[in-house]
Amino acid sequence: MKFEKYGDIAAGGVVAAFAVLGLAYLVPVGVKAPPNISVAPLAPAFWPSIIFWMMLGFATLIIAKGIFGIMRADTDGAEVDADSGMKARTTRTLIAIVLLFVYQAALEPIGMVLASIIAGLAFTALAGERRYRYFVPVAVLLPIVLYYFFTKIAAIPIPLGFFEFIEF
Amino acid sequence: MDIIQEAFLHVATWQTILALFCGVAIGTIIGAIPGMTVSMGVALTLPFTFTLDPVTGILLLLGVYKGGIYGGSITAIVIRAPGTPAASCTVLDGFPMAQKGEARKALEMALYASCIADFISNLALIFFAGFLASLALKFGAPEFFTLIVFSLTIIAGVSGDDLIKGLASAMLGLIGATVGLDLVYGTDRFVFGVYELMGGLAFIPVLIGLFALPEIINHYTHKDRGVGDINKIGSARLSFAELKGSLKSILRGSVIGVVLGAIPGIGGAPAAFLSYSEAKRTSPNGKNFGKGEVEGVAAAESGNNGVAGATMIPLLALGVPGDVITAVILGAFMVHGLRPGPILFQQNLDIIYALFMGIMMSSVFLFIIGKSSIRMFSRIAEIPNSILYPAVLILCVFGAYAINNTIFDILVMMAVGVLGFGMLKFGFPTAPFLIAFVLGPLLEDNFRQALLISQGDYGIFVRGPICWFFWALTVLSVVIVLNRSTGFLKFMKRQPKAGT
Repeated sequence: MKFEKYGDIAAGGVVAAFAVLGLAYLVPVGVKAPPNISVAPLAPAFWPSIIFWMMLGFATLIIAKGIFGIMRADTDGAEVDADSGMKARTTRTLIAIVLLFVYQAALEPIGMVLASIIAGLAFTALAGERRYRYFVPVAVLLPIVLYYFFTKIAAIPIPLGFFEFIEF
Repeated sequence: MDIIQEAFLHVATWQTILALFCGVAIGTIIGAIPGMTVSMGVALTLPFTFTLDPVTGILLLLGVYKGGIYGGSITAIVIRAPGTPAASCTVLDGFPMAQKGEARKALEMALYASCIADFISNLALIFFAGFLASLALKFGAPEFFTLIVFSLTIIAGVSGDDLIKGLASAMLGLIGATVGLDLVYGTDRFVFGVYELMGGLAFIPVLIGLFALPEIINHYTHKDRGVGDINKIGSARLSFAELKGSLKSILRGSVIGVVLGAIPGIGGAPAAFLSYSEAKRTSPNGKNFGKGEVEGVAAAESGNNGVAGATMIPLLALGVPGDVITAVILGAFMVHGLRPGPILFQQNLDIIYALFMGIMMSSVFLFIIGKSSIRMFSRIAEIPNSILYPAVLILCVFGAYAINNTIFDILVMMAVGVLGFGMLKFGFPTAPFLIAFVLGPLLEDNFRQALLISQGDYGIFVRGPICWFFWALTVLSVVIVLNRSTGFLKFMKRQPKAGT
């Protein structure tokens, strides 16, 4: 399978790209430093720069390891069979990730309770669960119980979005 | 003798015993809720102590504190969402055990290790408060720095089969820890105008994002869609032989917890990781660590619970709170007109002895409450994953929000969750990320503080025996790691034979 075969190279590449981005852009632009610093290691950019350089070094080693791995696999002639259900599972996983951020984005406008109820139902349905009599009560009651716990016992205000006018 | 009698009278009232019992129970529940920190629990309980007798009130808070530290391990084991930062190390072996159907065994080991470590920590508080407080005072920035450098060698131990990926993961954790305001100059680092980032990335959302969310997302990659997929509790219970086999790690972890707990500002998480690392290094089962080894749970839990009694040492002996929790407890002392420190030992020795008695009693209550709750908590593992994981997600969202009352933290949690999922898929271990994220700020701050003190002279890092001690341990640790991964020493030993 290509993903597994080139996994290390891809992963190393992503980490290396992030390290280069850090050294070329994030540190110079994102780290503000006062003008007169007498001791270089005291500069706010000193530590992040060292970390990014080390990251780049380790990423290079990961890529090298990946290349050696491919060379060895080619010599062995090993090939992994493609998984037939892979595409469907990848799609489901991507939907789950997108749903996560939709859930986060919905928290402020519609409130944590309603957003959590909808998210709970959506995530459970996405997992293929069809035993409604079990999962619907859990998805509905859990956010309400948590809301009561945090607001009434722990005195932490939970945003209710446009339901803010309702006094639970 | 009169003083001990007086102290006993303070403790032996039904109000005090009930308060302590309730405190441990409340703490256990609070610790088991991701997002509810122990410090939050202690702070919330503080107002209830105002009308109580000083000993009763302070023991109520101490009960919450001790219960909370243990409680954090429950969700770490059962749903991979540590309730407290200190319990994050327990995840490494606790959750794999739960997946193997050994949740109950892991919870039992966590309880026994916690109680033993807590008891030892309490004894240390009673007998060595003065000595440990003076040792703690010898720790300046350079000593802290060398201690943290040594602690970072744990990364090699938790990197699994791929040390390079473990180190790359640690770099990601270190860079994550640099976000926020620079502590020396107060300037922005990687804030990019987002004011929520000024305080840095909050620990609990990162923790939950790194451990719980990847597991939830990964659930959707399973072939069988996970319906009816249950982590059975199984009949596996902790045997006496297993407890005995882990006793060495528990005792070592307790001592590590006591020493680190006595040093203000260290906390339970580094103690747990250091204890875990030492156990992995020395145990004959070291290779199974991270794959569901019961000794790993014992080492982690003894490390973080060993801190519990010891954090009271600088507070009681010197009047210096070592962390947020002891600062709140200091507040409780002051509300009742008491000022911890040497004067308290002279003027209110009966109260000190009463607290010692109550603290010892809290270990017993922790055992009783923990034991009776294990069956209930381990039942969580029997809920089908298709229902459990969405429920855990909702719990995580509420928990992440509750830390700072900001939805931004939920975004951080989700972003780290996606990152953690990517790391999982590409074989990057997440534990090094976490260790580096926890220890990173301590490492950098102490490095820079030391250089500020010495005005740029690096000689400060070898200024005394404590520094040398930790440098020696670091070198030893690195040699062991290199030898383990390359077989260098074996190769060197074989060389003369090859020549003959």
